[in-house]
Amino acid sequence: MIRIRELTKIYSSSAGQEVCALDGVSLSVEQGEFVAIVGASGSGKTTLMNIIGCLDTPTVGEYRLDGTDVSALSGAELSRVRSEKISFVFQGFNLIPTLTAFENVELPLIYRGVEAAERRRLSEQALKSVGLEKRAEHLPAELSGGQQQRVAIARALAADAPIILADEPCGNLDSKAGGLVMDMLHGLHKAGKTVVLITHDDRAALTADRQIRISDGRVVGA
Amino acid sequence: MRIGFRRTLRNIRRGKGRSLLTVCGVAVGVFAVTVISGIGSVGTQQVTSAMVTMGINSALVDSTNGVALTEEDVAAFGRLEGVDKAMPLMAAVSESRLLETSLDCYAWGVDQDAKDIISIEAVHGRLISEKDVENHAAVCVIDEVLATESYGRSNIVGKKIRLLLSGGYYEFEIVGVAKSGMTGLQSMMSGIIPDFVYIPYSTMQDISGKTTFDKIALLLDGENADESLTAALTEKVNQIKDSEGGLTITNFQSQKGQLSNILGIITTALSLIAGISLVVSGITVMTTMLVSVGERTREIGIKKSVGAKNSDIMMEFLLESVMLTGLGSLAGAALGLGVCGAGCAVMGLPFAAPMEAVMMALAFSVAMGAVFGAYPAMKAARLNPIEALRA
Repeated sequence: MIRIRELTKIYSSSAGQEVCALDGVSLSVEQGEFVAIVGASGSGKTTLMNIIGCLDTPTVGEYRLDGTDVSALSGAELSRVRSEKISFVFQGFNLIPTLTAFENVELPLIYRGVEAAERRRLSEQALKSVGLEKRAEHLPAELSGGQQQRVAIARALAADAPIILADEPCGNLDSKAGGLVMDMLHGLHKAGKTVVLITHDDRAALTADRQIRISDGRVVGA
Repeated sequence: MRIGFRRTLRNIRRGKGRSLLTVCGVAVGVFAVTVISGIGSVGTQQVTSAMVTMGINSALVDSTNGVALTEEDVAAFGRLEGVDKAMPLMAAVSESRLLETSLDCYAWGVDQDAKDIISIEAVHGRLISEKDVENHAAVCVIDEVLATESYGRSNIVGKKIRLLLSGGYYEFEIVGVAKSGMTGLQSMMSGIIPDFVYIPYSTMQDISGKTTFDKIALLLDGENADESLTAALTEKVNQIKDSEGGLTITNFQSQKGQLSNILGIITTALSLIAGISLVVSGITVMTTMLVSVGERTREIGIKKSVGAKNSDIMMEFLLESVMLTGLGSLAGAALGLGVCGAGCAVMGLPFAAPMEAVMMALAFSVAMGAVFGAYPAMKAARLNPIEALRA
């Protein structure tokens, strides 16, 4: 499903220096896999996730998603791929503070052009499956960190994209809330989703089917 | 339009103070345009109706080099092609005494055709008749305003009035009260434009000792009362009198056209100046939107990460700025029309809503929302999702 070959990402800093965030990374993830990408901070794992998530494009190298060469797509086409294939679960939750839990969950469906009644049904269903149906009308600030992350998972659920990219999803949570979030990710995996977990936490990574270790922009162990 | 009006409104409400100020700015601009064009259109209407009073199809033959006009000339001019009727017309500055009131007035010597030619209309009693002219009768028709100013009511037919003519006071019987056509203009400028009194021209000739007239008023063929007819007639009357261009013809129709043109130009110019305030408020809209984009960078990043296309983001911000200007211009137009209406009501003028100008201001400000919102919206749409998320 995800095929990455000899992928390199170089950032030019404002001082004119070039920083090589990824250096010839090759990896592949099959459909339905639960893969953990593990590395210390600064290892390049977030850059890798951004590229996998079509938020960024590689400097050199090839990235095929479901056979499509994503590295050659335009911004609008990348948006469409994101909308159809990828859902994110971020460390910082990334909910829109002015929208209610329900509206946050509904957002990806709006951009996909789903009708209002269907949006409502899917969003309510998603909130219910993360146990937050009673919090639908609350703003993110009125929810705990764990609840916010569950809203973010509900957003991914509602979008029903085949790939879930989770970037340190438990990074800001205590172990209990974090455990709940991990359980939900495993639930998504069991439901057939491809889950890519980016983390520096070995314990969380070990619950995955497979670990890919990254250090200094290179894959050091798979 | 995927993000609907409701959410846009909420975004506008979120930046409460700022949005309110922006809406106010737009409202002030539209208000200014509405009020100025309102004043313009009411003024134009007033002047136009004043011109109509003077007889829209009338023309005035005037002597500039002392050529004397006689009864034969009236008959001859009346037979010219394009002329329906001709009437002698004499004018004198006068003073009227009615009861205790003494008022400046303008005395006109006319005949029975005054109704058609200079468009006077009797509200009470009658106008000057052919018999009055024949008998050199001491009768007059006075302006309604003159009647109400002295008697407090308009129907004073049968009363006597004393008029100062050629240095002496003469008593006239009021046989009719004429409608003061220029209501608005006259009431605003009473004291500047004197009231009118109409008497038989023969009577005025007797008093002044003249046997000729100052002017001859013509009623033109309605259809053809244009500049070329005026020119042709001028040539003909000068031919008849052998006066080498000493006679001029003033055509009210073309004067009216010129006057409305001038008024129109002034109104448009003032409206354009007011329009500058719209542009200024447009810049305010842009500032507001730029600040809004800056504040919502992260939100834009999140939206992009869940699949929003650049065009989606762009439309959201455009909708927001168009709604800001739309709300502002609606408020401004409503306020402006209200003020114009109230002003007209206070001054007793008929209110003509400058709908055309209001529509243009509305359309312009909405377009302005789109134009001045375009740059911020584009800026928002082009944000790099990763950088936006990091904000």
